[in-house]
Amino acid sequence: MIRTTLLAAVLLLGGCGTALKPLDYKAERAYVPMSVTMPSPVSRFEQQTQREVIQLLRDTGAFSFMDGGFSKTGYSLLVDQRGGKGAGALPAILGALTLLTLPVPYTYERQLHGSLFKDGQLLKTYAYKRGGWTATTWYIPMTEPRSESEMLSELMRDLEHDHLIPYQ
Amino acid sequence: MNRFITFSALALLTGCATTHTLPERALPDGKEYLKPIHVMIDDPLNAAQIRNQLRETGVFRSVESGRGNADDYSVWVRYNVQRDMPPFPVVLLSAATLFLLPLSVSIDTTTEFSLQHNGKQLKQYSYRNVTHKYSWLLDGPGGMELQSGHRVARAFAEDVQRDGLLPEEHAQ
Repeated sequence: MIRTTLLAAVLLLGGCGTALKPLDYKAERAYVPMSVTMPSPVSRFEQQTQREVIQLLRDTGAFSFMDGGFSKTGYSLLVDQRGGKGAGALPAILGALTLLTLPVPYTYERQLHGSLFKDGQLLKTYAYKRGGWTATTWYIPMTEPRSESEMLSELMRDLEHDHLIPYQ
Repeated sequence: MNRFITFSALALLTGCATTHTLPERALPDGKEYLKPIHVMIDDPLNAAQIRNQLRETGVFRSVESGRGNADDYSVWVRYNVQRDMPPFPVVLLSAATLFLLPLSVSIDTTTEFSLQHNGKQLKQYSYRNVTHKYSWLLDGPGGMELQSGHRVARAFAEDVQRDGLLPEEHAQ
């Protein structure tokens, strides 16, 4: 009984969380002030996700000062998370109608594109992709937010590895 | 009955007004533009909006993004906002009454501007504005942050104009 309750609690708390997980990356030194830009959000949900992503990037300690927008001087990083594929209409509607109790499996794909600019010139582009399958239920842990965090960590690691942005 | 209607009307008209702690500044007309500034804002999602609000003051010749060159004047902005919503049960209650029950919403923004030239700070300006409003069905909380931003931008523009640290750009 206790085990069941515990399992249910863990699944409820961990499995259904749509918030992004903290990044598996910590910077030792911060980059010079630069700008980090994301495409204009098309929905309130996307706006919230962008706010979370910015906060996660800030928490890595890699950025001393994060501006927005492009500039002719200095470095800017464009972070684009669009272009993925989530649950289609059918699994979503079936899931909603059954109050997320019927496991309708679906495959998803998440993408992350990073473009680094210096003085308005493109220096390098980074592309990441994660895919997998999951189901529209509350008792199967969501893997999509985790793959987003993983891709962001990978982008940060690659940026550090390439040494294109000077440190402060 | 009459008294009740008058009271409700008064409450609706005056009670729903947005209040700010930072006074509204009037910018003087007919002055020369100040030299172009390069503005860096430590908030990627609001940066464009803050730059536009500085442009709208009409005090600076131009407001550029990025760090600019060494001899350009630059402004570094740090922006912190705290939103204060009523406790969740009250929000739920308001939702259950189709938002006829007004909710007290307040937004506390602190904006710090650092005016720099040749890598040295000329002056630091700091503004705190607490915006408060009772929002309900016909009068949502949208636009509060925008109003607050305009107020802060105008206050900064007026102070910079008055201090004279940023030179005027004379028409050629």
